[in-house]
Amino acid sequence: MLKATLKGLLARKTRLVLAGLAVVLGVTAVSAAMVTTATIGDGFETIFATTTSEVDVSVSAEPNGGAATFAPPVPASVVDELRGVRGAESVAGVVSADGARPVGPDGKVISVQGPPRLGVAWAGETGMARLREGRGPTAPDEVAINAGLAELGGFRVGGTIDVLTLEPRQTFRVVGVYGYSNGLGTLGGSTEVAFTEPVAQRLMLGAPDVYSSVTLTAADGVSPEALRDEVTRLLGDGFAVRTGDELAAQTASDGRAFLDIVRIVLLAFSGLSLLVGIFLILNTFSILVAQRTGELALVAALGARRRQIVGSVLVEAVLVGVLASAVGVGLGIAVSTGLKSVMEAQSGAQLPVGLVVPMPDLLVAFGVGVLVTLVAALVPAVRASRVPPVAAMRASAAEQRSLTGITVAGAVPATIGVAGIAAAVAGWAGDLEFVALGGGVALALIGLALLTPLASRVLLPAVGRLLSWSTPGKLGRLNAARNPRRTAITVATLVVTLGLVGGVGVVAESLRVDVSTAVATDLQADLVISGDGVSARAGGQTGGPPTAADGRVMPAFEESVIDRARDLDGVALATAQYVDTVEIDGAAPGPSPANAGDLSRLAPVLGLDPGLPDLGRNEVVLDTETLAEQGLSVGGTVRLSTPRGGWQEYRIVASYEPNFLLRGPVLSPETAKERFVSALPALGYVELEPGADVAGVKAAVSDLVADNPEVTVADQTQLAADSAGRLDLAEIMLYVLLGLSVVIGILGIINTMALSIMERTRELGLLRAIGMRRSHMVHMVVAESLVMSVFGGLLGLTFGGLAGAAFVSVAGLAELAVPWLSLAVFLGLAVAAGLLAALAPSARAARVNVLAAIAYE
Amino acid sequence: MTIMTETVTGLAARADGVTKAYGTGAAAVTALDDLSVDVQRGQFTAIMGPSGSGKSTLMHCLAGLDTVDSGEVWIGETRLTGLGDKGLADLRRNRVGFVFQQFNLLPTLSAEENITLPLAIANRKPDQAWFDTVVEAVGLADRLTHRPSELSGGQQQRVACARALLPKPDVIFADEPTGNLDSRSGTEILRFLRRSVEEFNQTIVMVTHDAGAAAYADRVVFLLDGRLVHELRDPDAETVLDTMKSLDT
Ligand SMILES: Nc1ncnc2c1ncn2[C@@H]1O[C@H](COP(=O)(O)OP(=O)(O)OP(=O)(O)O)[C@@H](O)[C@H]1O
Ligand SMILES: [Mg+2]
Repeated sequence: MLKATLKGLLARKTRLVLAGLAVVLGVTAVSAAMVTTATIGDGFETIFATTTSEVDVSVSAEPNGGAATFAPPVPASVVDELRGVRGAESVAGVVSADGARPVGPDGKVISVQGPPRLGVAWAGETGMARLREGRGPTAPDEVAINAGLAELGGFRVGGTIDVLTLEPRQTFRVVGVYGYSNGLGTLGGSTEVAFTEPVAQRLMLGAPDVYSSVTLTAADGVSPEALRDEVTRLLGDGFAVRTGDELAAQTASDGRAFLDIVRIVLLAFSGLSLLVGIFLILNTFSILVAQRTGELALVAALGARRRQIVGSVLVEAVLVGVLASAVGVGLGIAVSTGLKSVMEAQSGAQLPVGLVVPMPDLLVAFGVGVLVTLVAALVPAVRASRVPPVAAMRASAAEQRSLTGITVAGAVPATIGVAGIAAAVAGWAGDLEFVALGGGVALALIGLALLTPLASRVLLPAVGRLLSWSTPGKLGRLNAARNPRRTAITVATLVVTLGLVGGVGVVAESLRVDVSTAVATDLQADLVISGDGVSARAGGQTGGPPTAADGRVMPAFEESVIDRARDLDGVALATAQYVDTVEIDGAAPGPSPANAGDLSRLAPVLGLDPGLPDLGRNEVVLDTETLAEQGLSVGGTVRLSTPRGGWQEYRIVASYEPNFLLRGPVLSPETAKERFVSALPALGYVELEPGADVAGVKAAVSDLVADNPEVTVADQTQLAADSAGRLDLAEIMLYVLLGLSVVIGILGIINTMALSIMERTRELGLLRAIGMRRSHMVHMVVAESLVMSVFGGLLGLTFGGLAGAAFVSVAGLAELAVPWLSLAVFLGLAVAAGLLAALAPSARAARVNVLAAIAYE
Repeated sequence: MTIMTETVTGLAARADGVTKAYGTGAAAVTALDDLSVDVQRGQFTAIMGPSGSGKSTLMHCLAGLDTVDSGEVWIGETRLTGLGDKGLADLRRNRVGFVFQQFNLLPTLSAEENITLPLAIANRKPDQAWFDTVVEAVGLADRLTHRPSELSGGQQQRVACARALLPKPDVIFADEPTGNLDSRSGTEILRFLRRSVEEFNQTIVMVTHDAGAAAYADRVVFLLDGRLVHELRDPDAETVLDTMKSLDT
């Protein structure tokens, strides 16, 4: 039997390749995700381990709010105090903070995705820094930069560099370029600008004689732990004292916030690919076995036992599964090598390690590939072995199975799912509305998958009529409707993919409309001065507090810009808004967006109640939602932790209705200058006098910020478009990932079509014999493929659209906006997929040799 | 030239010095060996001969399903040699009908749709009266909506006959149309073919191994090793059997 199986395997090479391809694709995706994640993770750990390798103990101030806020600087006095500690060989104050934004040769701020842009105090070639060229800075207008930055911006020793810090743009002379002791030009892609110590303290920490942390090395015979305990005893509370290893672990885990995003994206993609791959494998094997039902029945009639039949299919599946999974793992490693170089190029990061191949994970990927193949082959084989020999020898035995069972099995989850969605939309689910919605959508999707065969019976003729006006087209449509189960599983990938696309499209479009409407109604100003993403953070719409991964100091501009704008002709009002994130202490403690500004001027611009008072030093105005959430009331007090001020008590003097541009505590500008991360305003609003020339004033205001590469002047429509545009990137990324699963979907259709056409050689010959032209044959196959893909596309888009609409309703967005154009484009893509999938099979059908086909048994 | 045209017009199909070989070199098999045969309009011709004598090959060449190595093949006034794929396909659709031994029908179409398929491909509507006549003749009026899987083997062959007859082709070619049927169903098919020759003046060429079937024809030609070796007019079963025996020896 084994010998016969092996012979059979070799005889059906095409089919095997198709089946194997499905397995290869699925396993490749999964293993690529695993290798990439392991490689990046290892890279991060190595970077942070080497960064801190020469530090035995590090001291920094305890963050003055939760983990979210910025740790305040350590005063120089602490360094002096530590000089006397027993067991320390050296003690050094370190200045190193994110937020030194270099201006590139194109006049724009150099942006790196993920890693920080550090500003540091030059401490000589201690630690890891190694000069490659020039020398360290000695004058206030001199800097040294790391080689990574020099390469990114094309900076050279002897040239100049403009840097934005807590203070506005300043020009420095580049006197040195340095790398690191591990031979690299950047640590994990971060850029570094090294100032002299007093300059770094002023520009990066905002005060003289402070450090971001203090590092100590232990004297011979003193363990880092012993030194740490000694330092802790000496300093008391209020400081975080960690050994080098602890610090490395901590920083690495901060850096991993970025890694987590990558990991989630990759795993989501590989999960989707795996799912789609499973569909593909299942479908391929069920067709293969169906085609062999006759052959298997013959073997059974000749006396083979059922176990032997199933066994022979299994041997085949094991061989295909093992071979294809091995190829898939290999390809996965190759793909991640490619991904690694792309990511290095993108982030400027040079991961200091080679590819990390996580063996256990890859074994899992391999095992999954083999297992899925086995199950995919076993199910149809067992089914085939149950078919009585006589029935199996009749041509279309496999096509006649009843759909009752599968329909009932699908109706149950579909009903529960729809009920869940309905409950969420109608508001019966209370706080669990998103659980009800999510669960409902998942169940409904399972139900839909099982009901697709039935739906194909009802809908295919309808879809088909649209596409098949001629006889070959009609034949194609009938072929598509021939085996509802096969059609269903073939289009499953398209249904899932376009379902996601449709859902995301509807939600994103509704969010966009929501955001632009909000901006347009909330904002009375004619012109807005701001940098990227600032308006969003002011209203707390996205982003939340600046985390280690986010790590950005907000684009800001000088306050004098506002004063000068006020003096321009045609300007009625100009005012500034300071933006930051603070910790709030109340019934629901946590981070909150915080703003500051002159309320008498801000109120009309942001559409607030006119009666708001101007604030004193420890006074705050809170929005009504935050008041309710935190259980606070006007007249009481609230404890807030600002990044540079730490915890303070503020008196709540008034409240306002929150809107898109303002939410959370509002403080006085003086407080912001003293206690926010940046003492500079991040938003500026300009209202024009009636009849003023908008374009002219806009140009004049733009001139005021011309030397600031981070901020621009926008009118209302631009601002609305910008705010809405923040969704684009996420949406595009999702589409790219889904694009890959569309590719697999196309392969699935090609697979089914190719196998179906082999199965129907005889019929194709007959059609040619009775006078179909080659072009008719092509038309017929294309119609079959199109009918399937359009059916799948419509089903998916409809499902996704409805699920998206349910989400929009549950999330309480102002308006349900359907992106008809995008949906049409996606349907067009499904059509294109259908056409593409029909290419090879239709060529094959057109080339069928009539005589050979007629002689074919 | 004039004479030539005249002879051609009287014929439904003609093979003229046709040679066809399969394979090359030592393994070459000459399936048709300088064979010439005329098929008269309105005549029922049977082709007989031992297995491997080239009957099917001759029929495929006459019908434009296969190409010849040398010689010429004509359907009516059209010379097939040199016609492209499109021309051949159109010719098969409009001017030639086929009945094979089995698997004649598309499983996805009803009996009626199968019958009208060649016309539908050409975007032509069948003449309703003619359609009714044909369906009546094959006795399928009450089976038109059935799928092939719901029809018996004999009924399926009758559907195939009706499909071949409906476009009023120059010739219907039938390769052992009764080979898979019991004798009663076989007789029905043969009666129908005979009737279409007599009533509708249809030209039919049928390959058969059965002397009884050949007796329905106006003329029987005998093949041996790719050559036409004998011919009978208005045969009866006995003479056919005798001729077959004499050829076997
Ligand atoms: N495709 C082919 N390749 C090679 N040889 C072929 C091919 N088709 C037919 N032949 C050979 O050509 C000869 C004639 O075959 P043909 O099928 O015409 O015989 P036949 O008279 O129809 O036989 P039967 O009564 O068995 O159907 C045979 O020797 C056959 O082996
Ligand atoms: Mg034959």
